[in-house]
Amino acid sequence: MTKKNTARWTAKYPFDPLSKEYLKSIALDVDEYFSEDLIHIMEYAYDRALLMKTRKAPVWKNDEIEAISYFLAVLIVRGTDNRYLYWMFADSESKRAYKLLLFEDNFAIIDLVNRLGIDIESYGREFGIPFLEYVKITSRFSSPRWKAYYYRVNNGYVVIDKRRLARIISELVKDIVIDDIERITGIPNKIRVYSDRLLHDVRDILEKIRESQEIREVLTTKNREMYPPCINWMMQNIGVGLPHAARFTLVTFLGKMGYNTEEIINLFSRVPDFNVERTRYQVEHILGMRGGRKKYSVPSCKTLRSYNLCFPDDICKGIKHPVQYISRAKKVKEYKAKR
Amino acid sequence: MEYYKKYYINNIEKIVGSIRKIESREIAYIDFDGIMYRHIALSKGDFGEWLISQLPRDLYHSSSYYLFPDRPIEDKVWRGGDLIFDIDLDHIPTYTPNFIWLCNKCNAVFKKEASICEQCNSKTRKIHVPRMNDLEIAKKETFRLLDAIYKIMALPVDETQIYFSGARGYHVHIYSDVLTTIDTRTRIEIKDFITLDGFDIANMHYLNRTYIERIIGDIQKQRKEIYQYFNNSDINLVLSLYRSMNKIKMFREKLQRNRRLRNKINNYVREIYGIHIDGVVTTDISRLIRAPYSIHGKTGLIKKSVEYDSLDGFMPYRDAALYNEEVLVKVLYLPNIIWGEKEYEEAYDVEMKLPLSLAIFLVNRGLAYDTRRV
Ligand SMILES: [Zn+2]
Repeated sequence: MTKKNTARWTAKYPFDPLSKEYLKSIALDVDEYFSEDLIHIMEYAYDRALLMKTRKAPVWKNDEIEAISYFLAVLIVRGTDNRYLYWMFADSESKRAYKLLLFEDNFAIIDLVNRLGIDIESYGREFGIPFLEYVKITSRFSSPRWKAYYYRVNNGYVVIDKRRLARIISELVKDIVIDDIERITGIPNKIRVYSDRLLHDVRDILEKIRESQEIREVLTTKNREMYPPCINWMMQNIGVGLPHAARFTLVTFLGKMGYNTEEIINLFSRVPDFNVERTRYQVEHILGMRGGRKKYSVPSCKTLRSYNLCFPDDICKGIKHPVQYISRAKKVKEYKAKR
Repeated sequence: MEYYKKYYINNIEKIVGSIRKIESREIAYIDFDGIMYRHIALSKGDFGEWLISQLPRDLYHSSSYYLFPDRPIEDKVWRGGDLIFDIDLDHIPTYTPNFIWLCNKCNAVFKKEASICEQCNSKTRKIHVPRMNDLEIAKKETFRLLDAIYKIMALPVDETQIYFSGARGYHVHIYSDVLTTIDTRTRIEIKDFITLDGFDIANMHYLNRTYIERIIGDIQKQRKEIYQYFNNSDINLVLSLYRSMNKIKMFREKLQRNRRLRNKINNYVREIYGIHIDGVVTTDISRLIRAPYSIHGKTGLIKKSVEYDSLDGFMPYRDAALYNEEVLVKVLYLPNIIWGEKEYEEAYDVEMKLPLSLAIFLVNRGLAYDTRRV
């Protein structure tokens, strides 16, 4: 590649190992970007970091600034010491790369993917990606349309078009960017000023993440004191034998609380007619690991009442579902602790 | 039991040699009282002595490797796990088990359903009797699986071992380092690709590829299964859809509106093109698997390794049975079977001398009993 081409390529794909060499060769001492002449590059890098919120890319000035702004933005994000921001920055960089890749030349894409350590084949207008790499990456995608059986698979290669390959590469980009961020140690104080500004500018997003995380934490406790009376009754009576509806409820509930199969089977080992294999089969079936992968949900309070499995206490008032009990119980506990 | 002891003394090396990284595995066993013991960690050197002193009825090891194999599951620290595929007759839809009805009183045998004995009017019991060729169905499925592993997915299989499971199927273990560290989500994708779990024809991306064309091909070849799943109007509809649609999008839209046909096609694809494995064995990384070269407690057969080239000629009752001293048993019903080196003719209600392993095989099924105990 000519020097000009290298600059353009690096500007587009700074995560490429090839680009990193070029970046090293043009990067100045960090201090220099704070001089009056170059501070605009710092500002540009800040806008790039803020892309995670604005979703609007700053206007491309020139290739060299575009390239170096990645390196500076990574420093700013690292300075926040906030893993959510690492992830969000990686996500915005990944989306940026996806858009650029759609217009990239096929041979250039193949070279890039090879440099990322994946041996890729070209089939005319399509690409072949090794089966194992394909399933490793696409197992993270929620859409079922990525399932490997919807594609042609030949001699270990999954055949996909350019758009899908771009999506797969952009997923790899996330890992590389996070790795780039985490590898940096020792952030200059001047950079930290920008990091603090970033933390301030995205505080609303961080607040939302904190809230949703709290909900998840409350919902998946293994602390049995937080469980509703119906579930506790079932836990206490495992050894005596439970009706089918109670066993079913207990397995779905514990599954929701994050217990794994082995832990649940161990609990049921106190059942009088315990049979490991049969219990395993039933547990796996209910948790959706068998059959059509249908995951059963926890029955509602109404259903439990109809099976005479409801033994409400004060906290149960007004809740419709056993899992709602936990966040209520937590609030009640906190309230009592304050008094 | 002496029979187990003798076998295990002679085969310790084979067992230890077949369990890679044995010191990182959880070892588990069931004793002759049917009690299961888990979370055992053993070094290569201690394994043999332990095995002889415990003498398990069934012996297992974890498919995974752990930093602390003897701790409870949540503290073991996962380090990787073999990728294992389990083919079992009971998971194959084309397999229909064979039963006899045995009179509780006069020991008369009926090969057709008879809840009351035709000779003495007593009650009968229904007993599952293996056919000599049952396991051929499992073998066929194993070949389909190996084809998918070697040719279609072309997994890095430098270290793969095929085993007869000791009962009703085959296990394929892949130990290759590139594969052992893949997570559960990736294992689920591999399992789904093989079984076609969750497949929906209305999600296909291409019209001229894979399953749509395979169904059209089956219709043109008049494959007999087509008529088990589709009636004539279904078949005509599929053909006309295929011919008139030049865009996959239109094909999908039509099927999205015709749920009934869509479900029929999906069932056909999953059952005919899917490979029938017990998926949980592949995806659950906290699973135990029967140890190679151990004795299966219910059948008395060995979980024996089979090379790819000899799989075709492998006969479990001949090749995985222990031929040992003969004992006198009362046989209620003996099916025609090749056991060890000998072929046995069908026999009814007779006392006869049989190798101990075959005697156990029959007793465990309720087809014979030990005369000394009666
Ligand atoms: Zn009778």
